[in-house]
Amino acid sequence: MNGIAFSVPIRSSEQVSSQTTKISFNAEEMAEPQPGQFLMINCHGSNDFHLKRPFSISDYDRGIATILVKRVGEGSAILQKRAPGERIELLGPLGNGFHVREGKHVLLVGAGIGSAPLPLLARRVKKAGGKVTVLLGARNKHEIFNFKELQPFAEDILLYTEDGSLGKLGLITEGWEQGARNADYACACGPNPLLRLLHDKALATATPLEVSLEQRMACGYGACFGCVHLIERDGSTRYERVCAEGPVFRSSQVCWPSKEFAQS
Amino acid sequence: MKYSLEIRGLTIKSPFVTASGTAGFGLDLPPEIDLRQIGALTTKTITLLPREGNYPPRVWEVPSGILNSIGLQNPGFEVFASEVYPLLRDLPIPVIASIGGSTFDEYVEIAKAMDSLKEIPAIELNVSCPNVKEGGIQFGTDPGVLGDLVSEVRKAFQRTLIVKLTPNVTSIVPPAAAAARSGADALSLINTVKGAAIDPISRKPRLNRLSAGLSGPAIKPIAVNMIWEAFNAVEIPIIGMGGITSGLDVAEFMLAGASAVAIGSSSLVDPLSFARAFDELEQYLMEQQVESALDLVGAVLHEGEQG
Repeated sequence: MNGIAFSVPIRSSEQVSSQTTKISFNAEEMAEPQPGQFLMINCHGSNDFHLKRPFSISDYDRGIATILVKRVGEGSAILQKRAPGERIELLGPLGNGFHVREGKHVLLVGAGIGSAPLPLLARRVKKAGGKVTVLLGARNKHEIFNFKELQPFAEDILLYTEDGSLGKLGLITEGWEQGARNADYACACGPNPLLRLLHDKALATATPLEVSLEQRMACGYGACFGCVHLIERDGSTRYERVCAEGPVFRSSQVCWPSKEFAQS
Repeated sequence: MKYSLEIRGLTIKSPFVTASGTAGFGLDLPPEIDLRQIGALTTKTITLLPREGNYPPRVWEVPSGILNSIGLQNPGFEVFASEVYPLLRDLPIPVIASIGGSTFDEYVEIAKAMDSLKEIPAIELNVSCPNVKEGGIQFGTDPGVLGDLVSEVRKAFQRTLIVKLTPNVTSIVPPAAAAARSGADALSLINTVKGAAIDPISRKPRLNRLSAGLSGPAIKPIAVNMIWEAFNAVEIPIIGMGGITSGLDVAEFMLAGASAVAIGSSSLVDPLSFARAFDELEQYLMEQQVESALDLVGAVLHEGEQG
């Protein structure tokens, strides 16, 4: 089994919006990632006790890996300030990613920072002789990412912002019918409640949908069972690890939250 | 490293064991956790019936620690025996099966069942489980209840019996003494300390449950003190744990009275923790000119309370 722990220098760190930074590093030592896999990163860069934080692998090309870091708390804020040349400790690639099937037309859906894993996915779909349609949506234009990165691979990019500052005015879900029209299947990433809405859309258009779930993690490599989500598989329902069995699941397997299985 | 500890027929060849709940069943660990450097694998707690575990979120970082409320998610004894146990024989180190229950009967039944799995040399009794018949108080908090429980489990399991104590007590001495008196071959301590965290903006607990277990460096001083107190109360070996991150921490725990140690939270943060602490301990022993790590056990220079 391949090792997962690496210490690599930051190659570049570029602010792409007021809250978000794009960081790249040399990842040749690491196993080649599948789209939808993620990294656990020591954001603080010190030996102080802090959980690593999960970041989707946004792109991976010729040994260079890229992640998008949105400022959501202390860890991400510190990571954003670290400079090229500084070493980051990480674990990866982790988890089960999106499926890439030969010669298929895939709809890629990314809401806000959820578009993070899409460039690598688009790259691989094209490599497998497929076609890509992209549906991006966010509150406003500052939360739309990867438009440039996806252009070389996409037949079409549908864009929705809730304030109309970029693309069409509306919710990302409004773009589903157009996006899914010619798609053999769809892959989506974004906040879990939105993924639930997309699941309903996918049922209506009979489009198989894979979703990348979010869950708070501790170890990120499958040891602690901290990051679970309720999943139905082979007729039984149980908590599966978003870091190990996931983060990608078929949307039909996900038991979308209602507090049925909550225990007191 | 020159080290060998025998606990009633269980021989461990490294002072490090895994902490229950942080290394699963040892079957799909990353290679950074080198089992050949580890003395024994303590499994995730197994209960008679499968347990789903708690609704997420189950983890939250706090200063120098982790709050967890996993809820003992495990496949239950039957699945353990039929699907996991056959694979455990391929592990290079002995397995300590952690067992838990919500009633006396459940503990005894699973202890009996483990007794029949002959390749399992030891069990670790997880007494931090809530006693459903007593309103959910942990079994390990009442020395009388604990003593009775250990006595019953002692009759059911013939091989090495380790009792893992909960720190959520006024004094660790009565439970430690009760467990030892009732037939425990070794004690392991400490388990997680009760803790909670609340988000002041949403006003909700950070985890799905309010009360959870705190682990990591934040609890290290609590562990060191309790190990010292337990060491002075019993004659059986102690496996010490609670916030160990380095080889120096290991030395500290041994000086307090631990004959072996476990690493849990630190390994979750960094799977290289065992390897690093192992090397650091070797370095310490060399610099301190200590021939065997076991020479450190209980050797804190302490002349009793002054004044």
